[in-house]
Amino acid sequence: MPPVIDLAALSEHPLMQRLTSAQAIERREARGQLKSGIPALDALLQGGWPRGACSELSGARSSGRTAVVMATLVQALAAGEATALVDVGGGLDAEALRAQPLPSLLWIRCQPEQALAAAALVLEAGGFGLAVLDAGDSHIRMGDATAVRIKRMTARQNTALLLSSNWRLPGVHGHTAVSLSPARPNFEKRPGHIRGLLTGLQTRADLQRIDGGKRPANGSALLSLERR
Amino acid sequence: MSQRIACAHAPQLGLQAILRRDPDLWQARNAPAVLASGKTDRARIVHLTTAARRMGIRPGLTVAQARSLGNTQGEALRILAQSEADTSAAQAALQDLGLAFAPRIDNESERVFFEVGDLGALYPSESAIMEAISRRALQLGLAVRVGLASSKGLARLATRAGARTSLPAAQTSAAAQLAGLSIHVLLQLSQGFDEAFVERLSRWGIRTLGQLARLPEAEVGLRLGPSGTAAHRLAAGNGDEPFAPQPPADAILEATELDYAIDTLEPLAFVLRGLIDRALARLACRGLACASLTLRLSLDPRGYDIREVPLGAPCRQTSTLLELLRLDLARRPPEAGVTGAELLMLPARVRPAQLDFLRPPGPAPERMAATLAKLQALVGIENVGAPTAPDDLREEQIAVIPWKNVAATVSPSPPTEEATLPGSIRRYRPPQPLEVLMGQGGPTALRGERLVARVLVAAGPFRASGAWWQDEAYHRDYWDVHASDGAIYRMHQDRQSGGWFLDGYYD
Repeated sequence: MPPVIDLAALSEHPLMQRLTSAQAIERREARGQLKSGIPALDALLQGGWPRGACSELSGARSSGRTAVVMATLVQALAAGEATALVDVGGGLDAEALRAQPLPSLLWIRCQPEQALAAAALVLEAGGFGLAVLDAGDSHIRMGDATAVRIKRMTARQNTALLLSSNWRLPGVHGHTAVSLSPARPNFEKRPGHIRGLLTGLQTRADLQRIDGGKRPANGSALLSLERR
Repeated sequence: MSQRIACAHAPQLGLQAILRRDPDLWQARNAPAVLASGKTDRARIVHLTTAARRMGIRPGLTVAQARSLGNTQGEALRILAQSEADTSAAQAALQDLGLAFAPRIDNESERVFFEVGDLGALYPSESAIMEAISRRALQLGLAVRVGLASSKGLARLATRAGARTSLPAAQTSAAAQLAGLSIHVLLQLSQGFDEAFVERLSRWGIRTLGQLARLPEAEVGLRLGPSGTAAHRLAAGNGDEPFAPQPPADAILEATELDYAIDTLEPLAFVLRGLIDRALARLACRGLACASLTLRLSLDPRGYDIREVPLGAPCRQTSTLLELLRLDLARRPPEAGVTGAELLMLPARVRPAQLDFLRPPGPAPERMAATLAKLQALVGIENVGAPTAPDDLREEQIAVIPWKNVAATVSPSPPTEEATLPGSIRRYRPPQPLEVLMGQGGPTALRGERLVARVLVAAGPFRASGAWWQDEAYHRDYWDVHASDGAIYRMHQDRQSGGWFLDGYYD
């Protein structure tokens, strides 16, 4: 008599928590991924931000969110993707643009209450490889119906949507979620200055969710931000 | 292939111009309605519908007489006032009807002529061409009679033979088809055939064009002059009037006059929607989109309000254009009630796109144009585009240029280490006022709109100044501070006013 496999018991086995289902791999390969431009983060994300899905990037002020967003935008533009940034409050730094011009980035400055509508318009247009909604410090409320609609649009258009905010937006339940810890600044003493010079920040990226599943084990990476 | 000229005739264009501006009137276009030369009871009836004619009303009666006849019949009679603006717009729409089928048109006040000989490749028969012309005219809010013939004069005459009449290219066949028409149709050709001319023919016993064609041409010319010769040639199927194409208007103009002044936005938006719909239908005839909007509002009792609404990209969507106009009107309402509106659209081709073989496919150009216009309507024109750094040392300055989905010249700098990336500052625009407690070595505490913190480490000051040759000269001391809330802020002190401002935070 063949052995009977208890599937319910197998799913609770500790080994199962460390394995990725074949279906999840198939879904990921079908969608494709968009590199973030940061090898350590790409390794954490198992290739990059997923296309056709909604990803979350959360972190307090000075946690390095803007740097990660900028790196992802640059990477997508360099790959020739049509790219849009819905920027709540319009906090994009002109100094960063001097160092790295982004001439083909569609930049939309808006108020918090306009952000979701603007992102929906970008997604509806279709053809965008990457759309970023950077909420900055603002509170954005996304209802369940809006979240479902946005997710369906990203899936239909195969756009990688990255939601960047101070904390994970309630109701989103993104396909992938990364949180950044508050950064540690490095000040360097320089002769002639009253105080030191800020040389960079160090932060940690924690993977909260991947492939729509639970938080994986060992899902963190240290990131260094250099001052331009 | 021999030349084939189509003539689209919109009879009673003045009345049609009023009917097309109002969807309710257009739906009830077969109901009794008359067009008067003014708004008073003494104004004369100029045009009328067939239903009104059945009530015994005729052109030339006064409004009071027409109303009286309507009352005796017990039917509701609509009395409409003539409007120059609407009539001009309808005439322009008629020209656009011609441009929908041919690149060159010749037009008269109620007619448009265009060459359709080449359309045989697109339509199976001439009746299909005429049906397509009628259908397109209805989309523009016009009911037309269509005539097709080998010359302009015969095409004009063909419109009097029926709603859709095609005259054969052979002269004798065309003459045979026209033979049964009454000579009174000559009166409606607006070619100098007057009542006296037709009366003289009647006295000769000539009742139809066929009878006229059988007379010797030279003898008719001798007795009736050039008009007689022209009438005879038409009746004999020999129209030789030249087709003289005229250039189409550069811009699309739609206008309307209102019966009373409007001083709120919603009713005005309703009027504007009609104007935009009609103008876009005309642009669609030419396969073009709207590149720029100019709205001229006539104010009560006098004066104009002129506003230009630039568009980021050519657009063909009524809702988007209306939203842009609504936003502009909400931002700067007219100073008085509006008694008329004139909408000028500059046409443009939707941007052609050459797809890059090596790039992923981007957004479709036409769809993107509509999206850009919608985004501009949502967040404002100045907030949509490609960001660029201006030539200014004030850190909060940033400029926006029109966005184009061009191949990027972006090349990411390779990371020196696996997890090292250039940092950035998230800016507050404009910089937020800040209260700063200064110690001996620099700032020690901060208080702002959403910030109360002690300073753990401060680096600075880093001095910046510029524009001293202008009124907006600046002298600033920038500081980087690590605050007790965990953030690293960038802030500055204006050395002229002494005030502190929060520029943003390193992120």
